[in-house]
Amino acid sequence: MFIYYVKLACLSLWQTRSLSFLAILIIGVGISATMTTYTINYMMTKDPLPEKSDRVFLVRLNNWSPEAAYRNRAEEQPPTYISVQDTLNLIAQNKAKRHVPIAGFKEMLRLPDQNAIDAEVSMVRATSRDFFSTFDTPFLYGSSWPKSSDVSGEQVVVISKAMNEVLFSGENSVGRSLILGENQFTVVGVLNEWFLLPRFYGDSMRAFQAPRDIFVPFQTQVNLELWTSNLQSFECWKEPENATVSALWASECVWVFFWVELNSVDEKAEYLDFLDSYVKEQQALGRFQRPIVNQLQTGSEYLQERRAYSSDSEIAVWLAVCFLALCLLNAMSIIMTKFQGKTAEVALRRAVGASSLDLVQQYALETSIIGVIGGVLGLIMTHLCLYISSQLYTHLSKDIMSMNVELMLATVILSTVSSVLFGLFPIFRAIGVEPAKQLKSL
Amino acid sequence: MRDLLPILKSLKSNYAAALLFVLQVAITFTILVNAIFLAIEKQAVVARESGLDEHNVFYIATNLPVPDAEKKAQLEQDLININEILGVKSAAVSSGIPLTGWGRLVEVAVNPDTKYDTFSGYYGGDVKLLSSFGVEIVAGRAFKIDEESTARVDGFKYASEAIVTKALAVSLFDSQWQSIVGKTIYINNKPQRVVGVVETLQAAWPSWVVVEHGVISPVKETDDIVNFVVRTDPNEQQRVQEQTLAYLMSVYGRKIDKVETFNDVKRRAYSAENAASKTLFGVIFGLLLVTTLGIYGQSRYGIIKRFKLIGIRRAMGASKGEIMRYFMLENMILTCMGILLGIISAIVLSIAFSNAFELGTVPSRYMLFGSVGMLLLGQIAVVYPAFRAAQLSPAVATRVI
Repeated sequence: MFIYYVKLACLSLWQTRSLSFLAILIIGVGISATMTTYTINYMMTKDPLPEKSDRVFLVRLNNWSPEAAYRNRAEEQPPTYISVQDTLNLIAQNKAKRHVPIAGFKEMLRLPDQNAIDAEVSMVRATSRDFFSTFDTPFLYGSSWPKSSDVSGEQVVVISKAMNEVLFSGENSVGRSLILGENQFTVVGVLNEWFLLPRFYGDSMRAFQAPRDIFVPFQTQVNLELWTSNLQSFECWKEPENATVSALWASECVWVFFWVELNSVDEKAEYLDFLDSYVKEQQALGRFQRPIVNQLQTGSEYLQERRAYSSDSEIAVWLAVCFLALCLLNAMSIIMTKFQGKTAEVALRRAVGASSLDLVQQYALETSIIGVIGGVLGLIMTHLCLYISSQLYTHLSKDIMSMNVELMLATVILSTVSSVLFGLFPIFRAIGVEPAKQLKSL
Repeated sequence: MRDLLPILKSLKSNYAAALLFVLQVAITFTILVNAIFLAIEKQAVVARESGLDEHNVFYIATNLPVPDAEKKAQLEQDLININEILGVKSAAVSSGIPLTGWGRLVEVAVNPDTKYDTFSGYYGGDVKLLSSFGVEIVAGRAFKIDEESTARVDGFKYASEAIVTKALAVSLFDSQWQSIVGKTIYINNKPQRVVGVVETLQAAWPSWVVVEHGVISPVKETDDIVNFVVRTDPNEQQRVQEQTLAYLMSVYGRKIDKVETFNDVKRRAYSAENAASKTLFGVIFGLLLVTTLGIYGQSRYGIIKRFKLIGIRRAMGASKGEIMRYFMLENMILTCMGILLGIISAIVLSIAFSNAFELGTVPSRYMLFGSVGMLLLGQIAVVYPAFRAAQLSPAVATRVI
């Protein structure tokens, strides 16, 4: 019976092919608009670390001038970054499961056999080996550097897959060398394709851009005194002793984002207690002459405070949903037109004994076929729209403009369900004819 | 107008199609008005004046490859040499460049005891900085050569004179903003005398609330990276840029961190706004297309269904014009009903958006223009079907079922 209905539906679709095609096209357009905006919004606001986003925290210490609160806020809030000495101290105290400092510098990058003139300015991320385990980065070759590199500041480097393509044409480059400025680094690992959206761990203004391509131990940056003054924001409430980099390291200037991963959410209070006792220790040494306001913030809390989420994408989703409703109404009137031509058929079938439920089933099948085809068309168009968006939205990472399997399934289901719902009204109107009256007029 | 009653009666008998039509118009109107409003808001942000001579300015971020003690001399030498390049109108060194996303901010206060009155962007450079940016002085005067000084970093800590933007002056002194010239203000708690006011000079962050606030000090900075701002004669930018780079690279140890024209800076700064407004215009276009097709299809169908009626009316002596008028009036009535509904839902949506996303509400003139636009759209979509209907010969029409 079902197959027979499908056959009938296909026949009917073919008979009214131009109207059916128009309905499918209009549903496809509406679906693709909705799903394109929804995909972008979904990718921008999704949880980047579903398993542990509630136990990875940004450490904020109230390190600011005794005279005034940080940024003179009415409700005192600590800076989002901490100083180099506090970073090193907190790592040394080793109270959290993992410690991830986020620092960096710009340097001229080249291979040992390249001339200095071919070197290119590259942004380098200085962090710890915990970075790779906390953010679950996949490795193509090698692995992260060993603990000892973090402690002694060895000249080792992990590079991204893209950088490996550029420098070593995609070969296994573990053990090879590259030169950053005047220092030679040894490659210990190559990442596989990896992105984190939103990339919450650093500067909030770059949260939707791709990660950097070169990673070195934080201690190495500290030891080699590599500093770029116009790369990341830094704030000093007290001038460093002098203009040297070592004075900057020893100063109260704050600029290192410091993240910790805890074993569970329950440890948060414990770690806060530890931070309080740490600050008290430092107060005894004459630092931190302000009220103790330490904070542990999750990635999304941090991004929200920094207003990194743009409302544009959400507004676009709402407008697109309205647009979809419009398209569905349009398709509804087309379907109504389609069924209006069927009054004779309906009357005949009713007269020979079909129940109205039979007819509803049959016509619902027809509209759902329209919905499915519209959904598939919408899916194709969504991919096209996402491609166009990735060309248009140059300030966003291309990884935002991609759909996962769930979203693709959702597209087709949304299209089918909404078509059936909006098709019900025309169906009920179509089967509402009185058989006797209709047949007489034939 | 005597068609009015028959139209209303016929709507009642075919309420489903009419309802669909009205709903479509209402939804179109709702999206249209809100999308156009948002797109124009974005465009307005992009169109804001940065204050610079945008087409003729570029900057080079580079280092001073000499020991600290010689940096000042190197910087001055560089400035002299760059200014001598043919086609350079004015070249200067600056601590930052507007809209690049990287710069410094200062706290500004009128009284020494208050914490601060407002924030402001900060630029420090030599006396030629104002003319190199191409900003216009609207009160007071430019810096004098003997006011210029040199610091390693954070020049506002050493400056004793300042020039502010008009927006900052207005925020401190309202309509008396011109009186700021000669007054002492407190930049990060350091007293400085304001010698002049410039019309506009935006800060480094385009989405900052006080992006229009700016403080300029006559203090050159010799930090790791310095920014050379070069303003050229029209159409000379490309050549001057190449020559400047060639000169800079002739100094051993020079690293070029960044070279960018200000047009590119601005494009990058507003890429989000530009992309969003392009998307919105795309939405508007798609919307109009779908709705026009929808109205056209429905009118055509509605008319085909009424061939017999049209034939009878024509046979009874109605002119072609009367037939056309009937369908156009019908369309207008339905569109008006849709617009009425649409105005209500557009206001609701606009209020919902403004509550949820810190946006302004759509001003009423958008509703007016939107209504006129929708009416025109409806009429355009119905003209052809109505014209076809009017062409029906009475004889043929009566033969159709």
